[in-house]
Amino acid sequence: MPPRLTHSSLPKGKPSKAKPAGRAPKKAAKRALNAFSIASHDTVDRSKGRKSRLGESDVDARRKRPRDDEEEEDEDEDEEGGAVKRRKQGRGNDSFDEGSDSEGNNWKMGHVDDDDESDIDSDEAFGESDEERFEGWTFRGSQSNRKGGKVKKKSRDVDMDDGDDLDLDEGESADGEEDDDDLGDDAIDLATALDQWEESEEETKPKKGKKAKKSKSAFDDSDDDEPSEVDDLAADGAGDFDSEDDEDDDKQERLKDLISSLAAEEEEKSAPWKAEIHESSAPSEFGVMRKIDLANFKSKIADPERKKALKLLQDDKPSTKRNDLSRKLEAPLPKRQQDKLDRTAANEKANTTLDRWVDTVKHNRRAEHLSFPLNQVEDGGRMGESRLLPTTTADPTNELESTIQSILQQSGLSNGKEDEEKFQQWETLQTNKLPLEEVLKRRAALRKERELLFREEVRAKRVKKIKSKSYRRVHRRERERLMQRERDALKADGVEVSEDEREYNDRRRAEERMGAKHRDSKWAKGVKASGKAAWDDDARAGVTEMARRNEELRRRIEGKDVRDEDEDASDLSSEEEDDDEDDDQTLNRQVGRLQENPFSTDKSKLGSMAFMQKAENARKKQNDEDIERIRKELAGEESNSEDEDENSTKAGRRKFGPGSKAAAPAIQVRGSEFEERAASESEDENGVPVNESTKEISTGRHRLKPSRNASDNFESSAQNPYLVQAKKSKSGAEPDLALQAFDTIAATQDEPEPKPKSKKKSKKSSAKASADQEADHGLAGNPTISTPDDDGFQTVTYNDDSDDIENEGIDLDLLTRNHALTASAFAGDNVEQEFVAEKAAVALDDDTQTTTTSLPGWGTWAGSDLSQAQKKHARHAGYKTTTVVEGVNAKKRKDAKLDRVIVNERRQKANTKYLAAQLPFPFENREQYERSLRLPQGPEWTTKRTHQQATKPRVVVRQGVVGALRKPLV
Amino acid sequence: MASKPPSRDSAPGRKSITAAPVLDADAQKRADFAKAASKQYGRGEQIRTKSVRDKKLRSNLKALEAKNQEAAFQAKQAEILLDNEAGLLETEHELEKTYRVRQDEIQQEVSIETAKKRFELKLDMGPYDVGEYTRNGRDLLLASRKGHLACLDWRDGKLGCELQLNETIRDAKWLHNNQSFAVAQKKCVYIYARDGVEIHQLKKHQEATHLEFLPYHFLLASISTAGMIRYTDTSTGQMLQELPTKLGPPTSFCQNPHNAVLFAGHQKGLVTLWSPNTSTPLVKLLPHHGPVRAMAVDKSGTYMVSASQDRKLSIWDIRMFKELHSHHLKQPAHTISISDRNVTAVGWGSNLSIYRPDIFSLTPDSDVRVPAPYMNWGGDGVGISRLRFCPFEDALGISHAKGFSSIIVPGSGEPNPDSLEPGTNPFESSKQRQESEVHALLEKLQPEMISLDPNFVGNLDLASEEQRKRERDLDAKPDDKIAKLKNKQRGRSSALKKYLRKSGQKNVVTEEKVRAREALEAQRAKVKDRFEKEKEAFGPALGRFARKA
Repeated sequence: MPPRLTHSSLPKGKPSKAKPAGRAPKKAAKRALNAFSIASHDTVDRSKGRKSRLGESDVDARRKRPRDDEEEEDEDEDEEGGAVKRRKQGRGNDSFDEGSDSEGNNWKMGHVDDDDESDIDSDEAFGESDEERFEGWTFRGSQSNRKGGKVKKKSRDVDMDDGDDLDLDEGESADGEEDDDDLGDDAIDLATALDQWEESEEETKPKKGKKAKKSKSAFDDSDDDEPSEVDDLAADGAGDFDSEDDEDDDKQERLKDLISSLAAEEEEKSAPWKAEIHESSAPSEFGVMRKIDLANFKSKIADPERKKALKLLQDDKPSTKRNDLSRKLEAPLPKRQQDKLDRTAANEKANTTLDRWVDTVKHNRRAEHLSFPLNQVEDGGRMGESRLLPTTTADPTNELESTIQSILQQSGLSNGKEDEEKFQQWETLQTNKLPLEEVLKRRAALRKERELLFREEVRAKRVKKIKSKSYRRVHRRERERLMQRERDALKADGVEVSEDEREYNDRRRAEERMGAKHRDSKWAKGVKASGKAAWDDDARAGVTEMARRNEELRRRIEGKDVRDEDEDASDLSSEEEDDDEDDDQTLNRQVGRLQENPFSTDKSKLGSMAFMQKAENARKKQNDEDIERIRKELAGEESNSEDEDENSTKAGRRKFGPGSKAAAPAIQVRGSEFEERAASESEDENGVPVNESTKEISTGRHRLKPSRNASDNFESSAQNPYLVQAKKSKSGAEPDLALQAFDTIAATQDEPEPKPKSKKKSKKSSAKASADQEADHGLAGNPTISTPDDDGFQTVTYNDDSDDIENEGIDLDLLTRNHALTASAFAGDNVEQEFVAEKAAVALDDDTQTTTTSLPGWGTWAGSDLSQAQKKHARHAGYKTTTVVEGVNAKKRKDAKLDRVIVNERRQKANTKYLAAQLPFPFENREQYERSLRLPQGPEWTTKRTHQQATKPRVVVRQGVVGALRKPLV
Repeated sequence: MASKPPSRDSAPGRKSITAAPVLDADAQKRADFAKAASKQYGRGEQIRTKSVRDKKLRSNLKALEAKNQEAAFQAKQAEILLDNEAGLLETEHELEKTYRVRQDEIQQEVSIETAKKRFELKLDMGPYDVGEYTRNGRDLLLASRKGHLACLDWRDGKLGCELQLNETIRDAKWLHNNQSFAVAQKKCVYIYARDGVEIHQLKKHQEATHLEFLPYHFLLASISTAGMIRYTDTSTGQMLQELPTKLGPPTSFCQNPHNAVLFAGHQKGLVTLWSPNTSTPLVKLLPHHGPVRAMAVDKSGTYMVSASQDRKLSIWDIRMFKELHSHHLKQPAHTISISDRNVTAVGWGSNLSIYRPDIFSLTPDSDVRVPAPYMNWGGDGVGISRLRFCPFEDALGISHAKGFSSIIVPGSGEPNPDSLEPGTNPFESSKQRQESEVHALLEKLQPEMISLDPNFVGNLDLASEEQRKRERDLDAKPDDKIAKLKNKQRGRSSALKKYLRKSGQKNVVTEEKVRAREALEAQRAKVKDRFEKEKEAFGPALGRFARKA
């Protein structure tokens, strides 16, 4: 390649433009060295020849660089820097087979060079601009050199170069924008090339644009692109190449001419283009710049419009002294920085794409269970796995289905989708056949439906607007307040509220009272819900009172009509009421009404039938009796009749106590027991205790509940009559008990004259004195037991009405004997007292223990000549230590408030084995932790599904291909 | 109210009017259902997750709560599978009383299969004190005081074994399944197999008067005439614990099936609660003033019914330790049994009263002095000695002086057996029995897990550090590693060698290592010595057969 060799010498031939060679040889050398070292580092595989070429080029560049270039403007620098870059890239491409790696490396070499240079002595000697310019030069030199080297080395390389050039030409021509060629660095004198052929960059620019686009579309496009270019090359490479060779000399001449002729302005104009080109250029495109078709260039610049534009551009910029040098090239960013920028850009890009996945990843990470392969919605591959679609709607998806379908079709069973379509078609046809009126009617119906629906919607909206009770209340209050204010204002003005209004208000209030409101009060509801009225006297009284008031109110407001209704409706309730009604008047009235209006008076057919009338009569009779009885009771007379009726029994029972009015509590308890037993005795063979009767008693009368405080153990023991008796008779230590004991003894050993049972009434009077006494101690009604007669039988007498006892027909004899016997049997063991004592002892034992130990004499003087006081002091003084063993405070014991219970407060040491020594980490308190353990996992305690969910492994891998997600799931 | 698309709504407008509130009511219903579910199956209160600061913990706890709720919801839903309904005899009007209904009347009315559950075994071997069912209700164990012992599949009428022990039998109990049972005889407790073969004699269980078997812990407990409670682990055969009650001869003994705590009744009206982990009773109660003749605890471990010689019948809430109710019987009761559905049978004298489950809803404030019984039986002069409800059947077994009677008590049995629970499947095949036996053994609870609160396992220990320090035995000797290592002697991997090999750097001399080496030397010398001796003993010709190690 002779021309290239000559090119390298060209700068020397043009000393005016090139820098004096000896200006900064040292630096140049340094840079070269640097570059070399770096390059050798970076590209280990590079051949030696190439390296040397680079070094040479550097030296050349140094030599050429002018000193004054420092005053270049930044803009220019930028532009030219871009240009330089471009060129460098081009060269890189030249030297290697095409491929991104090789390009990058090659480019890097030169580049790193620059970087180092600037680092070293940018401040001292050169402005950056200078360097850039030099680089420009360097390239040319280096390229020529390199080309020479190449020639020496390999002919194939050269071919490649040529090919590149050709290719680039081609590209330009293909663009059709300009026919001019790129800067063939090797072909031109460097200075002129710099000055003139900025335009070449112009041409490359569109290409670059393309490139950029490509690179946008894909990150690693460059690899793919280049081969195509190579192909292009191959297509028309040869011709171009030949022509170049031939015309080389001529070119030089023409170049010179051109350089002289071309205005500096033009160069300037082209500068901005260059800059753009370089910034975004990809290394593979550099080859474009190498070839120059001068004629083309010229013609282009001659284009008047373009010139104008360029001029305009140029006018903006401040003029530079030396036009040729103003084509400075800004140094490309150091590779490392550039890479960094690239990386950040790429990173941003990648992040935006990755961000789409964040949700999915998070979701999967937090998911309780994952099953692989993840079912991806868009897969759709496994049709029919999740659900079966009817063959009529879906096309057969696989072979099997299609075979089946075909079989079905052949057998005339189904035509699949077509069938359905046919049906539809038929239907539409049918509708077409319908008469117009019919269609209209249908449409009207449909419209009506829609209308209704719409109205419904509107209504729903309105309903929604209706607010809650409290909302209304608040608003009403507000309204009332306003009204009141208004009224006040009126009053102040002297206008009185009218009579009518007041009446209206009253009426409203009355209506409200009458309405369901007070009936639905909280209390009433509570009573109803708890069923309290069934047994609680107070509650029942309250209820009846309420009902009565309600009645009254209604009557008062509405008058007689209502009462009549009421009479019909409420005879049952009035019957209920009459027990507790305090108002005798009303009661009597009601009873009277009852009698007037017997149970039913309907004269229907059924009612007129014989048996119905009979039943009715019977019923009426009974009712009449009842009414009569009630009336009597109201009048104050006691019914002595012995009914099986519960009410009457209850009435009879009432007199069980000694004084029928005042009943002492203790006897109540006892009495009930007796009664129970009596009743049970009366039961046939089983001796069933009847509780209904006792229930009656309890409701009928005020009863003292046994107290259950820990404090009064004795009282509670008194509840057990046997024990009380026994204790008294035996211990007799406590004064209270002694008194009671006396009573019991009196009761049990009352043995003056054994009397027959029938004469109990007379007995009653004789025993009255003791009865009074007994009543004081809650032992009233104690049976009096006679001494055993000849047969060993005792007579037991109660201080009661004889009627009652006889009525019951109980063998009280036996019962009381039993009582007495059991009482005496357990008399000796003061179980309760012992228990209380034990509990106290345990509480004391478990309480906090303080022990004081002293070392007498410790810390005091000893000796014979101590004063009396000192001796005394020494005796008491001493080293004292107190040890406190924390225990459970007696008041904080679990059994502190429990009667007849001692709970062991000691720690169960064996159990601690299964306790967590400390709160496990993520939990903040005990509740959280213990709650987390509460749900058992075993199949015995939960449903199967819960169990399976609880024990399912976190990750399940099923058969299939676990592939990457294709698109975010969330 | 979302309006439906008009095209879909073919119904006239009237219908859609009613549709709106229905939706609401549905939602309401669902909410109510969920509420009821979490109340019934929620296992305690929910925790407030909102106040949790840590975000991750909060979300975790929320998920946990959601899971709990879901579990409760599903459990509630699964109730649909309990297709058998429970019920009791009901009267048509108030004058009719259920306690007047006689057994033959019931037998006439019920189905044939049910009627078969009423039967009578007339045995003349004296008072039958024991009539026990297995936990699945299939087998029956009968024992008379005079030594007659029989076990049978009562529904099929198949006799397992029949023995005459010629010794007093005080008590007998089935063990974990129908394959073996324990019998407290005059002196010791014996364990027999189903076919009557004596398997074990538990000599340590001296003069046991009562027996109890804790099926989940495989513990057989007895209380002796001296008031000593003894536990034996029947899976290992080890004697576990001997606890003196120090309260004299016991009068009754029962277990709380909920937490495996044993209840012992004593002469002075005391009831003490025992676990094998403490030497003192967990709780002491005083429900009575005389000897506690009988006790029973319901299945949920909430209520105890006890009866004493002073004729009192007392109902206690044994979670709160409060007496709910007490009244006097005509005669002192001496046996009580509570069925799975809380029907309570009380035997007094020759009578027997059965109470409805609502006796447990009585409170000290309620007006009922004496609850009316649900059913009655007996009164014909035959002394009743033990009552047992048959699990999963509406039958009550009564062992009395003249044998054994089974009567029908409608509503007493749990209608829905849980076949997953080992040992409680009434339809168990022998394979299933074997399987469940193994499972039960694998899932055996440790005796240390017995406590008043059976859910304590895993809870946080609330004892202060001081208390723990006090509990730690500071005077205990540090255990001697080397002495332990001496036990395994043979081969390359003898414990000492292994220890020396694994104890790290060779050049570090510690006291333990030195001792280990010494021990090793001694061992070697001993082996060598023995070898020499053996060689000598074998003589010159056979000396080579002497073993080296």
